[in-house]
Amino acid sequence: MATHDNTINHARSASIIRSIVKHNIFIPCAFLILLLLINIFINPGFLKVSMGTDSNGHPVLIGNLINILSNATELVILAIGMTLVTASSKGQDISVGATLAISGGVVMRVLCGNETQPSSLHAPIIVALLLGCLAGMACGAFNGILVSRFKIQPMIATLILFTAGRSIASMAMGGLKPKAVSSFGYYGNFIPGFPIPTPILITVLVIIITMLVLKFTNLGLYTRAVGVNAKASSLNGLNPSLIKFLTFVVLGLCVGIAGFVQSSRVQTVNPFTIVPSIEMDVILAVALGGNSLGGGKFNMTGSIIGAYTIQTLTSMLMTLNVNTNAVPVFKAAIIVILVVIQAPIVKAFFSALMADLKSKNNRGKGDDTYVVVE
Amino acid sequence: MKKVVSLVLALMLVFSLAACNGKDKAKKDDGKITVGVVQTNANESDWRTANTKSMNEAFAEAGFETKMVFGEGDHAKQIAQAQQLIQEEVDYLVILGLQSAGWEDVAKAAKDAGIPLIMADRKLDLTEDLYTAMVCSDFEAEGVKAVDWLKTQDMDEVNIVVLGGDTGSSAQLGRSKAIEDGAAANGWNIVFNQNMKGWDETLAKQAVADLIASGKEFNVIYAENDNMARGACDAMDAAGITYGKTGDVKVIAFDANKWALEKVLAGEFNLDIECNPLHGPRLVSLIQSLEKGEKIEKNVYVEEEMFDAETITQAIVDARSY
Repeated sequence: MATHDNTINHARSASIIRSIVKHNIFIPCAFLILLLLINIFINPGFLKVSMGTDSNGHPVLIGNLINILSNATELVILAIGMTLVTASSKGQDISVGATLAISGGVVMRVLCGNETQPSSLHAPIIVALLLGCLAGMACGAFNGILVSRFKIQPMIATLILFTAGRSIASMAMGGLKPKAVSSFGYYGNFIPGFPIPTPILITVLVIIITMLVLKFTNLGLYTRAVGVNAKASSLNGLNPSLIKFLTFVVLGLCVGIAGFVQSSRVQTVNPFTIVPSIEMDVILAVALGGNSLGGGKFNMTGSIIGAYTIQTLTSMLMTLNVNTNAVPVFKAAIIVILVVIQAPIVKAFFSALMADLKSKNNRGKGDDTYVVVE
Repeated sequence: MKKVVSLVLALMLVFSLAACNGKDKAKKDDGKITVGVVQTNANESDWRTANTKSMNEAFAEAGFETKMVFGEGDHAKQIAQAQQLIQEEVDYLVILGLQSAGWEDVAKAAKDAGIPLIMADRKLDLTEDLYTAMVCSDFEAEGVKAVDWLKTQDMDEVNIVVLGGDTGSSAQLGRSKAIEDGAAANGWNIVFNQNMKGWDETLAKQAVADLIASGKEFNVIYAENDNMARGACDAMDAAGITYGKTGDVKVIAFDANKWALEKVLAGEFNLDIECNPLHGPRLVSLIQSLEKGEKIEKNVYVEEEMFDAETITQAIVDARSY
């Protein structure tokens, strides 16, 4: 009798494990944890967070983990918007790097006017933030109209701003490369006296707002519906073009916020080199999060974890001092492994393998396991 | 029927192109010298802005017509632009290459078309017979100046952080080689040596912040331009590490923009090595000598100074125009 109970418990815990393993954010989480473990193995002090003071004597938190959380801000915010765009339009926006340059450029122009080294800000920071977001949303709306009204494939539609965006940003800045006063740096660094980097707080705020919007509005449901089957959703009274358009505008808003944080980091923007090839990292974050790039269902938590995974990887290769020329190869090699493991064929192969092993085990153990099955 | 129409259209296109070409040639006969310039990026840095301005102003003053194109970080685009300028039959082709390799075909095409090719700012990997003249900065010599300066500093142990520029540009290759050779010869440690895409503040700042967080000890920052040095200083500020004339970490920067010289004067940077951007007047005198058929010096390296925080004066900073 006792052995019977044990077997039931055993089976129960096995099913819990199975449900965890089957959960759609298990693989992204597992990768992130694995990367962190490798980092700890290489540098035992990796997770250490210490309290230091900056050159003005204000307390600040110092540590690799803090850096990763802080530097991932742009990637996380963009991945949130990109997840929605991917789900609704079955394609990706490859112009986010260029449009981020535009919104960052607008922020700088508003704050600095036509001066390269202004001694004070030309406009309140909130105005710069709003105009930056507006510029991002305008770019998003442009992409959105091309995709939803003119039915152009997202990658082709966004190729336009991908190509022209950085030059537009340069024009928006009047060809100057201004540097704003250091008080503008609070949003990309620290607010004096508060030890947690501001970008981390901004990320947390954006994530909370996203989760609330997804929980209490129909945006998430409608986006999924349009992505899964646009025709069926329009028969059910939804307007697929409008939903697609809206997701691009939301991504534009994300771009605006990310552009503001990025320009605040060093209080200057170089439109041609700001966030180099971030669009690929963002799309990768969405893919690593277990999302299908073919649209439909989406997993926001997965994308966010995917973004942190990529930042951890970037930071790891940087601190390991891998030869610069070899960095892209390392990154690519690790990403290939991550993506291949998540491919449906590989997943099916492993679950078949597991089932096979289990049946062999069961045959060896004898009859009592079959009792549980009944 | 359709075939005939498309054939006619295609022929019309060819003829109209030929007509355009003819017009271009006619314009060339008005005696104005056309200079095609393949520049790197429009506003990569303050240095580049001064560089572009210098060429535009000097050429306009000399009465040349300027056709300036920008590669915007794209090496392949630069090559296509250069080929285009050769097709447009400019009189002189000035190239400031993003990358030093891969220019042979352009150089051969220019030679075949009889267009003199002048390399400016950055030296390209071309054999002597493929170009007409060179007005470049000697980046390795700049780096060697920094190494020599570092030798004079009384330091027990030297741990260097190298923040490199765009991988493969001649400025990055020369400056990195100088410090790598210098470190090997003098027994210095290079604790970090990575190239930052785009010569940018943000990446340099993140790299140095990561280094500080992982507890790596360093006492020299060798940043291959002013902007990256500024990014590194931002990261050290955030962690409360002192630097500059009175601090623990020595900061070496390159290019010597006006704002950077102000930082040298304020003691935030220890050393800034000049990379002279004012190529315009030099190119004008070179082209004018070539026009007159005078003999020119083929390889010219521009004169470059260095500015030490111990010796710099307000007058030097004020005299700087960019």
